[in-house]
Amino acid sequence: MKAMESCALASLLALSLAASADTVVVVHPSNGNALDQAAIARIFLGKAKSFPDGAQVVPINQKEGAPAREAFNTQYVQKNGNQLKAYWSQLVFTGKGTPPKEVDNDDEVKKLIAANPNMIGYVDAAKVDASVKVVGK
Amino acid sequence: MKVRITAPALAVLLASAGAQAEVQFNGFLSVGAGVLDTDEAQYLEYSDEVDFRSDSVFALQANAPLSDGFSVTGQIVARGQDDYDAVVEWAFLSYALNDHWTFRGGRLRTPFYMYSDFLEVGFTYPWVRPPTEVYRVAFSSIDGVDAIYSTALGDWDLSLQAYYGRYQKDDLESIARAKSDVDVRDLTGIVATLEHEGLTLRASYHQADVDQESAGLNTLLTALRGLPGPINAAGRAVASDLEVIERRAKFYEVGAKYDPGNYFLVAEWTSLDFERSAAQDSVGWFASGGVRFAEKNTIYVSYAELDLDLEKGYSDPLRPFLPATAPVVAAVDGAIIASERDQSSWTLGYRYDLSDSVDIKFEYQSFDTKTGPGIPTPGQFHDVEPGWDGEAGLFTIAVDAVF
Repeated sequence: MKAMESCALASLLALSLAASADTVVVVHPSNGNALDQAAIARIFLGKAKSFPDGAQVVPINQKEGAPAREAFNTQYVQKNGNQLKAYWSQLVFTGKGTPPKEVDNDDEVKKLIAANPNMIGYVDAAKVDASVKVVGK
Repeated sequence: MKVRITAPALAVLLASAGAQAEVQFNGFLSVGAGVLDTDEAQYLEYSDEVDFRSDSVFALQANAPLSDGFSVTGQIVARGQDDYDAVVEWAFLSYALNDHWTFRGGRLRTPFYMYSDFLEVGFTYPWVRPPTEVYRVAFSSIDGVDAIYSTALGDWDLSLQAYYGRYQKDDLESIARAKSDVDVRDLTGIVATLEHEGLTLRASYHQADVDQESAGLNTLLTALRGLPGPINAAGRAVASDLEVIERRAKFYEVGAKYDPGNYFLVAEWTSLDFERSAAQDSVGWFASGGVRFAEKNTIYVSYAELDLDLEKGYSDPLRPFLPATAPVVAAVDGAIIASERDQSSWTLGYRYDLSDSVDIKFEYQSFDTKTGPGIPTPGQFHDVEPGWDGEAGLFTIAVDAVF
């Protein structure tokens, strides 16, 4: 009984890990830009302010604690929460930059991006539908 | 940093293209407590009794994006060492012409150093404070204008900043708590920063015309100019050699930082050169490295050094008339010797990240202010007892937060 429980727990854990590892970067379906990991990191660190085709880019973050956020930071931005906070503090307290806007969850990211070709965000791969397009994969 | 907005509200905001965008509030706080292991000298506000003033600071910042690339930023800082009297450190209007050019005007941080921009935001660096042997210029803001150009060069990010401004203050306190009235005119400089992944390279040059008057120096200058009869001319010559009026100061800086995540290395070298006067040249540099482990822990070690380079011969015009023991000659020589403030320090510290925006640091710093075996100088210490051996240890605990 105990063994089964822990087994179930393990597979649940594995499932959630797999799910969080499958965070994908999404843009508006009409957005034809190709972006690699480095380009995506630059956008979310405020270093790149436009897409390769020259259009303005508006990154959308998920709030602290959202599962997709940690996975995205590790996978794409390659900094942990603390390093990111320190990085943005350096820009914020000099008036040189402001961190991306934050929304609560995957659905809000999709809603925003579906309505604005300039936006870029990230969601759980399982949440992708026709309203957005996956890049950087 | 966490202004929560709902998606529809955000959409409306972004759609209105910032015509009436939200004001963003941020802040930071540090609370530090430290104690020296000697009662024969003091460093910052630290003595042999625990003190909270030197490394405690609270700041609030407001940033208001206006339309068409304009924004307004203000930062108010209250420091423990000033009894938490609030002062405006930043207050500027910023105009982003495009992705490359930004212009700012108002009260700006003087970009002397690699860590100038976030000098007091303890959360953004590993140590309790940047080493004062290097971060020794007594002021950190100017009233003026600047232009920042930033661009990508392949995988590298280049930023160039040029500024012009002025700084004036009566009773400005140096790190060693010496007071003077300063007027730093035509302060201008250029800063180049190159960044590539975890690597940052920086070089800067700054110059200004400086007036610096202190009570002690003024007394000496008055005495020199009042010397009687045949030595009056010699006294006046010495006085104009010593006075810090319209003296050109030049400041050179280079720095490098490598921070791939699980460890960091940083070094910075600075040279402050004064045109001949009572103000003396100095070189300050530091190197620091640390490792991060288990996500939240950092152990670091730093070495910092300040070397004064004293000019000679200030009392020479008086020597044909007076012996070296004459009070006025001794006063001139003594004024220069008092500028000898060599200092070095080793720091060992541990930082633990309590959360994504709060850390705690434990630091031990061992100071040595000797110029040679058995020859102590005050270094950056003050209220020094005559018999002090020039060595001191400082233990500090600090908590930093950003919000």
